[in-house]
Amino acid sequence: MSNGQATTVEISPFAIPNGRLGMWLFIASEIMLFATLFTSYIIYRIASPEWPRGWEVLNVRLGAINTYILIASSVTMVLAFSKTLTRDRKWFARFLGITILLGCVFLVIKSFEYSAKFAHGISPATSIFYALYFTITGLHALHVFSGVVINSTLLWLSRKQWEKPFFAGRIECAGLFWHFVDVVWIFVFPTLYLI
Amino acid sequence: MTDKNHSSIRIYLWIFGALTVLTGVTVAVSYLHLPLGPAIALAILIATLKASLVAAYFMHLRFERVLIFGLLAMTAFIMIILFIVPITAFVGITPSAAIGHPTPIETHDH
Repeated sequence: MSNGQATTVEISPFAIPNGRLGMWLFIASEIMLFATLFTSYIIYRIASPEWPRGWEVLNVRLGAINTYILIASSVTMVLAFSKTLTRDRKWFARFLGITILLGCVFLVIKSFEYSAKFAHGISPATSIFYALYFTITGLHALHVFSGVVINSTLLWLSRKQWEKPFFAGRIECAGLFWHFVDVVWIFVFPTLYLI
Repeated sequence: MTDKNHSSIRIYLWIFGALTVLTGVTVAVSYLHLPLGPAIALAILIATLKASLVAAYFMHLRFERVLIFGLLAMTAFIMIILFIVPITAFVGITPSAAIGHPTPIETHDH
């Protein structure tokens, strides 16, 4: 049996916990949201007489660091979940805390990138490329922020809810959302920064 | 239980290593400043590989029920349609707009 199967609390007609099914459905809708933004990017890039190569206008090093940060946070997130299954409360809290911290570092680095652009008078209105850059990375940053809030809330709630049977399922669902946020960035980074 | 958990952690760390290497490869390839076609193909290929690793092992998709696979397959199918239809419609039907030169509108003086 896999890690995920051990957390069934209620009888669901689908043989999968409602929370996990619900989170996957939500992720499916979010995939659509980001997919349409990528479609817009493709069409606008084809239509434009000129379009910068990513490294010419964006800080590839900061983008790469952010990619690494999100991947590391995904690792710590899944480790936090595995610790809820082995009932290791101390390391659960540590791993979840590191995940939250890494998410905050991502947002801080993003704000450095944005403020550097604004300082040069560059805004979403500057060009189609920048409109797409700010929209895509801004929407993604909003998701990172939401994930940080959710994870922080769960870390706080663990004080009272650690012993509850549904708690591991909550961490699993939060983990699914966080991994999705990581996957989106895995596609956003090369699309905007590297080609 | 402990052994299984240890092997899980080991797998997670291996995947972490693989993702780190793949990120390094993507960034290194970008420094080659390849022409657009190969650059896009390579970037998408590596990104898909990384995303698959995260989905399969961190999101436990490898061990997940068929229901979730079905849901994601349907999502991917509709997503591909949503990619192909607008792009081919744009490029195929409006070539003048596709090259960034809209046709001018004639005006009449009164």
